[in-house]
Amino acid sequence: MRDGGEGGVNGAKGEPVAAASASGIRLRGSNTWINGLRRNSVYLVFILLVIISAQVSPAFLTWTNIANLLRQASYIGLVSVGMTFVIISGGIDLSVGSTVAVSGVLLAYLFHWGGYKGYVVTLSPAMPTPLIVLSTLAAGALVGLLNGVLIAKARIPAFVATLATMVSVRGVAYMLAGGRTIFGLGESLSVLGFGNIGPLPVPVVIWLGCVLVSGFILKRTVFGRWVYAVGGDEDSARLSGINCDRHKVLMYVVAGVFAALAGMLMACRIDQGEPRQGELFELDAIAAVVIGGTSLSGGRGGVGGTAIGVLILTLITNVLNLVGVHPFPQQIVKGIIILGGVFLQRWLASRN
Amino acid sequence: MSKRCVVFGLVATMVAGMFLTSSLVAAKAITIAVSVPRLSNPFFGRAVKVVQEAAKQQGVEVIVLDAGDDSAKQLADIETMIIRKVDGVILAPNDQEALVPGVEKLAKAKIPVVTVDRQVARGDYLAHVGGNNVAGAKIAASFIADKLNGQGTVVELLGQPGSSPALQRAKGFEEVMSKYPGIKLIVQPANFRRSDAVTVLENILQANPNIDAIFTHNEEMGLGAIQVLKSRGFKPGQVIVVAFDTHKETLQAIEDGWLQGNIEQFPDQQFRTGLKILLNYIKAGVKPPQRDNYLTPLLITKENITQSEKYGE
Repeated sequence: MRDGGEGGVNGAKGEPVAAASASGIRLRGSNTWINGLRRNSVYLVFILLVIISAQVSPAFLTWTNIANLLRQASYIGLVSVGMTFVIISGGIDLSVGSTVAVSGVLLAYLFHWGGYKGYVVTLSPAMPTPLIVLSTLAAGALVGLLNGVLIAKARIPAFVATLATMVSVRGVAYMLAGGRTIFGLGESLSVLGFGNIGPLPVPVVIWLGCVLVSGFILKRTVFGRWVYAVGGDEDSARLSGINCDRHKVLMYVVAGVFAALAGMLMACRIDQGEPRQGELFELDAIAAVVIGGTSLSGGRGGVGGTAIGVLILTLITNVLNLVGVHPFPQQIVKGIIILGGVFLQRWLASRN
Repeated sequence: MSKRCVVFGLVATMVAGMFLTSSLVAAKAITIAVSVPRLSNPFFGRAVKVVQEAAKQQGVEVIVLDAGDDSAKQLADIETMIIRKVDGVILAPNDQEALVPGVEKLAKAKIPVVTVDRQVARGDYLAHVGGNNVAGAKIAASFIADKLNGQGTVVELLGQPGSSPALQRAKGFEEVMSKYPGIKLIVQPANFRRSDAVTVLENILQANPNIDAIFTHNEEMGLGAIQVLKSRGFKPGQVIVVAFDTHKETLQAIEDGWLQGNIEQFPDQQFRTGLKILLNYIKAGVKPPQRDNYLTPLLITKENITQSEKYGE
């Protein structure tokens, strides 16, 4: 059952992977369709849901709705890319939601340098806009670095360390914002919140770009192999000369930067820094990663599956709203579909 | 084989469930959406029920949306409703600035929107119906200041940062309080949540054991504050508590002497009026005589408790 390489191939980027696995199946002979499904079961669940959604709501397959759905997915999507790196390398990061909040607030704070005075829209930027953006991303990296050092060097379990930073970082967000929201980011960044590149909203392009680049790094580079190696079997990885500690720290930094990127884009979307933003994002991101077929014990999975996981979660909310289901039963349905998806995957995986 | 049955059963249930829910909303003449900041907040839970009941009597279908205190989610919900082509929206915006683009998008799609209770800072909305939050908070402040003879320590628990009621209630309260130099004001946000209020007040009491009065921006935080006072061994009335918004529990607290005053804003009436304005416009194209409508708030005490909207429920 344990085959890191194969699990790693599972669900990264569409075609080359599918082609490679298809040839593998043929060699093994019978039951080919079930093996094909096994590798791509998350895609199957997704396609199934799309078909159902199109059936129940004629508005679902309109381009406006798809563009909206993709944009709604992109924020959680970016957070989940970072979460995938961390989980493949055998960790977990609960602090991403707070990092989303602190980066959004910091962005707004740097645009209102010298104190936020109520609802005045006049900006007083601390530095040029590109530097503000970089500082915000750097703040995310800093949170990640702190997580990584606590986990890899101080040997605190990832769950506990990131739980602690989750709480503290949220506090920082509240303090920076002074217990309120910081409104107004100015025109220079509004393209990030409301702009389009071709038919796609800007955050969607950024998200999909990050998924492609991350997928390439994980599957096609030595660095990527190491990520799987560290998460799959740390001792073997260490014996084969990989600096596991440095690797782990780096994974949390990556997660922090992605969370900061998401927080920044969200702040641009609502044109303000809001210290409560991103609450429970960590859970949505973990759910997406799990639905996407990445193993919570590390060493297996990929960002492609995670992206589909995010789309599944967003799609459920979207279509249930289109259909007009009350929000409370919506949550029940969401939970059942998460379980259903994971059961389906496990069942397909056991059929070889 | 049985495993296969389980999986197909699961999928079939999912499909059937979605078809079933969709068939429930089919073939209705008018569909409106009601979007609130947080459905698990009893204030909005009740408001949604009031809208649903009033709409049902007129054969209007209601789609309920829960923003979960997240402005981005509320914006996304509004976008979905534009695609769903609802006939109108009743909106209690999570944030007065963040939802402006949502209101503008609705206007562009020619979908009328009435904001109720909470407001957006600007934008092309059909109407707003709400309480006069500034006036209500001023009444509360004067009541507390009179009771304390202008001397003492007063705690103010703020609502959710950035929401219009929290901003307006803080404005009204602090405007009056600034006229009393003998009153020391301790201000902390507790996000309209009972659990947050408990934590915040416990912390405040650590640093200031002798507080004289508490003003909270909603009833949930008021009840949380009373919970703390009870557990700390205070007697009813020892600390003056005044809260915004009434419901069954707060009326009981007034009768028991824990809550001295409660600002009644008649939310049922607010939401019913909002629905009426919206439906008048959808059905007959009639715009309300004035865009912003504020109901005059009333201070409910033991003496006039029968005037509360929820008395006797």
